[in-house]
Amino acid sequence: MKKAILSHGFASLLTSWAICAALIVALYHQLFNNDLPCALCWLQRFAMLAMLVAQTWILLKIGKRQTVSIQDVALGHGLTILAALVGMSMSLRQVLLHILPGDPGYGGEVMGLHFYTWGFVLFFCCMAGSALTVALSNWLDRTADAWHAAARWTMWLIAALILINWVLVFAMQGFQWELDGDPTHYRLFSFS
Amino acid sequence: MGTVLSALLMACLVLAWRERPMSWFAGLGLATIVVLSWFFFTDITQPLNLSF
Repeated sequence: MKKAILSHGFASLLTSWAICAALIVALYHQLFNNDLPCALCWLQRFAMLAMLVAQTWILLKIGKRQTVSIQDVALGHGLTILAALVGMSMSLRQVLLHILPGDPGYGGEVMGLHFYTWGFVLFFCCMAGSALTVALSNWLDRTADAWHAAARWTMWLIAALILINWVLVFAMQGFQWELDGDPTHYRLFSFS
Repeated sequence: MGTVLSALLMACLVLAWRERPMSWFAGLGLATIVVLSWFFFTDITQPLNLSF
């Protein structure tokens, strides 16, 4: 049988790296430029983390069994598409909140676009990528290839990103249930 | 709400890591997405003054 050019493992790795990169840039801006995320921004981050967890399911299966079943691929990409759909609705809402002429938008920019606009692009691409991977799954290699060596540190990176976001969201909301729509400080360290 | 969502996501990751059955992961993964959608729904319906 002719060897497939693309494998399921590599497709999941590519998706995971794109999402991790977006989250790292957002974390960098929060920690070093004091660009604090609003409640909608946090929800979008959680949608991205949910997509990462769904992709981890596929990567872990390949890692432990050296192959992945079509059922596992369907579950991983199905949950990714659902999380992307929810995340895309959130970023679209935030884009619409700031669409009027003269509105400066919320937060900083990366290459001329606000974070939520980049979020929309990322959710759209992940959704399209996952749908395409599922549609073409019969023609993709389901065994572990050379790229799978990178899966281990990628999964540790995903776990670290969830933990870091957990700590930061707790620092931002403190012991209050809701997050600020327009935050100016970390509530955990301030009683004002 | 962020702390709850982070906890759910970490629980999903642990389920996958420990190779728990597919239905457990699917159930918790879907529950996480539903909770995420719920927070978003309560945000967009604020102007309607709905009470639940």
